[in-house]
Amino acid sequence: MNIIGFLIGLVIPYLAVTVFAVSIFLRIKRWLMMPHLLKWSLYPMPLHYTGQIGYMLKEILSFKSVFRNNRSLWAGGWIFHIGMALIAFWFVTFVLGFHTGILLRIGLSILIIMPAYITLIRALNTKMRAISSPLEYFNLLIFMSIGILGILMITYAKPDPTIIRQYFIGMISLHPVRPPASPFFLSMLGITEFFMIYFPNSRTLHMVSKYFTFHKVSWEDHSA
Amino acid sequence: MQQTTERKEKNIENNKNNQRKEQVKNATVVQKRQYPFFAIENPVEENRVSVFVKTLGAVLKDEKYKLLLDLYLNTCASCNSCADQCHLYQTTHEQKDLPAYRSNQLRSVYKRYYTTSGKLLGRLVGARDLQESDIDAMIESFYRCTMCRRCAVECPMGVDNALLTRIGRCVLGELNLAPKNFTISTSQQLEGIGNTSAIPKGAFIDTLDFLQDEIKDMTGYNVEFPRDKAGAEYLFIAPVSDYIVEADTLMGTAMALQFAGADWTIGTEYYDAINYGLFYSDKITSDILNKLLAEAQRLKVKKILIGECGHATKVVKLFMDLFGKHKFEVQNVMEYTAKAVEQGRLKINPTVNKDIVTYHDPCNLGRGLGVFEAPRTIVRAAAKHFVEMFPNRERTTAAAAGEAGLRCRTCMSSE
Repeated sequence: MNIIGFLIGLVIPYLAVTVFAVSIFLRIKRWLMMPHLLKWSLYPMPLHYTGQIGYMLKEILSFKSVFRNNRSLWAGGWIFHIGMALIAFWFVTFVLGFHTGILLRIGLSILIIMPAYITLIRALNTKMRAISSPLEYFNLLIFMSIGILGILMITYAKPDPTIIRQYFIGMISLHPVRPPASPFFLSMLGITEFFMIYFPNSRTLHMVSKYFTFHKVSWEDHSA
Repeated sequence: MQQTTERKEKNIENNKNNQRKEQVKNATVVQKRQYPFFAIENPVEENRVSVFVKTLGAVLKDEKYKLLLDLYLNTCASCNSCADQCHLYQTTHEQKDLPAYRSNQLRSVYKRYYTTSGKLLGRLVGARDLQESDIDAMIESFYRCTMCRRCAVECPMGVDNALLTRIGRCVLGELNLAPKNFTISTSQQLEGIGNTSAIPKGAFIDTLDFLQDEIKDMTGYNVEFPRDKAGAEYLFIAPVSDYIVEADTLMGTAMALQFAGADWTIGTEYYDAINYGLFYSDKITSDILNKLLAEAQRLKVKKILIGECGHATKVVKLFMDLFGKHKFEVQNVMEYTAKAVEQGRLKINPTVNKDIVTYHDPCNLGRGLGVFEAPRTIVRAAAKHFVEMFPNRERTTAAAAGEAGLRCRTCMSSE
């Protein structure tokens, strides 16, 4: 195992997971401490937890606001997130001992097609271009790279799933084993590690911050 | 040798002269700066960029804003859902009217000067050096926004661009970059006669007497505008301009309060609920709010009743805990009246109003305070044919009477 394989396969994964977890924890802790000094609620609001959870679930599962306002972006964004969910689901089941290759293929294909589609929307639509910084394109490029490398790996390198599973189980159980030597695998892993470090410091953190914009600002009822 | 020295001295002198000329030229340029969008009184002309950046830095350290800004400035997913909700953008289709674009103007400065990624990676992460022209663009953009918050209702991330607009305006306000309509009105309130329309106390009292006579002539009823009644339950305070341009509203209010049996009074030491500080300055918001609260304290009332004005109600309801030196229960007059109707204390004959009547939800009372049903209760009680117009409630478009209307009038006169 060369030095790059050692770093990407054995050292940086722990570093990336640590940075990811600690950064998100610190952000959440910071936002949880946010004082309610400025009353800036938005009415009407769901007043009870059931209503709030219902609203959130509907929003998260269907992207209903984007659906109503930007149908073409919704199609790309929603399917893109479904793709990410499929890959996450595949990963969990894979580590648990099931290998649903078709799920992985679909997920990775979505990770190529939808970011490409969204990139086109951002670049070609005047009003989307006006609010898109290079960072937006960069974020999409990260996902596209993971998708492309994943498909190349499955198609050409065809690594043994058992070796990959042993590697992941070794990493999770803190008994690391040699990572698969495939350059596609290592590249994909490297980009994923980069993303994990980068994620908490980027606007892709909206997955977490969204909770606070609603619960700590818009849904603070001051009408009584 | 001597010649060389003389030449050097001459060169130095020439350079100094050139520098002086350059300075004079620059000063002339600065003095000649025009604000094409609207009139501004005594704007800060020098070091605008550094003052802007420092002021934003101070806001980012402010307890009430720092985590909120940290949250909002890091959350937008750039989906443009806000654009379809913005009636301004839907009308103009100009880039500067995209709510997310507007917020990005502030976001890019925040990123460039107050985030590590922005300092290191600049434009790649949406950060950019602040230029003089950016400040001009922000003045235009932040004051074209009506702060109606319709975009916030549809933001999948829960970001409120109107709050970012307000904070942007507050930063500009520190450079005295605010529309003359606002600054003249607030300085009249704080340093002048004491109200935005510069109505002296004597004239105000005369107006109250006139309105009483007018009601008597119109209806035959003796309806009082009680004044300076210490210990009353309610201090009623309306935007003072209503006494000039919305006399019907005030006469209606006085009748509703009297017939509902309210124990109320008007204060003659301070009688203006308008608070344009809401639109550009926390300091001014606080100073004006405290004048209103001091009047309530002077009269030892239990509650404050604000006229129909949305922004005036919003300031007292939302900012009293934050800035107020005194605390009172606060109601909008429509909330009071609707309750009186529901409780049967106020009976209105709907057959008198035979026309079809509708109601346009104002942003501050609706989205801002959740007062949606009270006005409908009153209208339904007062008119036979009430119909809803669409969109309504939280999806209402801005009535544009406050933030935008004021700005537009100035804008139109100068353009």
